Amino acid sequence: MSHKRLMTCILLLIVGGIACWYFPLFHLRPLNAEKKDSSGQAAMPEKLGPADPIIFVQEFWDGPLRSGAIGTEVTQLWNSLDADKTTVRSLFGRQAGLGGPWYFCIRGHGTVEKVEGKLAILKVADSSRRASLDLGLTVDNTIREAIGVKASEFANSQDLNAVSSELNRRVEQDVLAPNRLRLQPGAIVEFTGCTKIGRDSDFDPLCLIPIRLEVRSNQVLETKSNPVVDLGTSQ
Amino acid sequence: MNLKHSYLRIVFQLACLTFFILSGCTGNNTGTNSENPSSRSKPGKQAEVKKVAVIISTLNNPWFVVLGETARDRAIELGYEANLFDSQNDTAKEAAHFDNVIAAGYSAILFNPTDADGSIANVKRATAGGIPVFCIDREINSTDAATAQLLSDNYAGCIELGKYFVEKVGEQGKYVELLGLVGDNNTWNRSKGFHSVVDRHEGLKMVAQQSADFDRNKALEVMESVLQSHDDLNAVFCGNDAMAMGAFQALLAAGKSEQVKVFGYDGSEDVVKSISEGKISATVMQYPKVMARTSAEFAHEYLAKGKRDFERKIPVNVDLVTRENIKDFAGYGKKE
Repeated sequence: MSHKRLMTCILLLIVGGIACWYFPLFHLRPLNAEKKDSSGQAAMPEKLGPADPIIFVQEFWDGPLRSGAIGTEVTQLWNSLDADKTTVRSLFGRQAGLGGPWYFCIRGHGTVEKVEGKLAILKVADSSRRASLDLGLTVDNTIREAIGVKASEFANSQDLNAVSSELNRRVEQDVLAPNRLRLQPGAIVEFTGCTKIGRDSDFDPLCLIPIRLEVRSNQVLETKSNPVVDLGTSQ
Repeated sequence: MNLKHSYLRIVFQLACLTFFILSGCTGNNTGTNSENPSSRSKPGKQAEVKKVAVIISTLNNPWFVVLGETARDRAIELGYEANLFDSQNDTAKEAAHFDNVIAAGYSAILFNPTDADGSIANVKRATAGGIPVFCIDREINSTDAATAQLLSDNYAGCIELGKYFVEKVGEQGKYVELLGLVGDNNTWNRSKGFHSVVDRHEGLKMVAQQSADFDRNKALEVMESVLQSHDDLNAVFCGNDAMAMGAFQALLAAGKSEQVKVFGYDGSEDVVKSISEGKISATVMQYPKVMARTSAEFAHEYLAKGKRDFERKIPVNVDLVTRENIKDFAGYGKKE
């Protein structure tokens, strides 16, 4: 009787053991398992800290923009356009995401030929072509996209859009306001600007939102960061 | 004898306990949390079709129906079993859908979130369980939760709409703004884009700004209420097309549809038709079919081709639609 009972218990133990092995009632995992073993997680992008729009713009303004280390030389762009229209976008520009226009950051120098409404038309040095500087309201994302700000750098798209607002504000306040009246016919201008290209015809003439301007008149150099008294004819 | 019997019983109970504990220490292959999506099928069921869930914030708006159905249909075309879930703009329902989808062994989620902050936990739960999540149209405020997010560039779209608004309404006038869901980033990106242009013109006065939750019926009610106190309006800017249609209905009933210009956002079929008929002034075309198809293709690249290096947030271009270019557009996209 006792032997039979013992056999029953052993049998139950074996059956229960097999059942528990394949269908465990619980699963033990180390507390830091998720951090250590990511093989089971869906592949995730690397986490970035939230970028502050004001600081972001300040760093750009004091860094690459001030050093003049950004932008494609305008004559190089036009020469490439003449050589191969199909590759010039991907070679020098960028697209913000899926579809839509291309954005370019461009630098060069030229002479103000005339001012028409809110546009200063420049005769670009070493080229027969013209570029215009937009001196009106700055409201869209052209600068942000042209300088290569990525949406993925911001947890919240409202912060990304705040970068646009701040860039536009800085351009109006620091670039356009001090230079608007100085951009008179005959003034020599060194510029860095941003443009949005939707069609091939947008390349010529280029219309740029200036993000950096140096206006020379009668051999006197004026910049926002290094202002000097203008002795020339411009106001 | 009794002592021996008790001894055997204790040994048996200890053996049982040991088995239970050891069974909990088996390898990682059986735990749901560590299941690899690319190998979710059990041995012997290799041919089992993987499942893709499409979870949409609301199917009470035709635009989202197009978004959800296009994502589902594209996933089916790519060889998956795909099912559509409606969160009814309710975060609790959305969380329940995620629980069910995770438990049911889905391989990927194409997700239109209900709340930019409130939906993050759901997404993290799914990705921690090995299920990639691709957000479409609506954003979650995180760069480390979703596998990728495809988002319309609403701010840019409303800048263009704002410019057109000033062109058509002029630099003097009174207008109303109907906002969408206040917890949704799209609401504020659209509003801020619009105001970044319109607020530069001091003669344009906003006399009321109210939320109508992206809902046509609520917009109708809000507009009726606004019209009782403001009968000298020139325009109404609506954060989506459903609200634009609701506002237009209220204006029509009040006999002011000629006086007040209506501006929407989305590119829905009824608004595109209304623009061609001169009832609505403009909208901004988002491309729900492009976003939906791309999200399904991303999921396929993840599951079938092993792609992992997705850009976290991908803006999707939008276009202004007006009477001048309406011939190029149909509902929810360009004419094919």
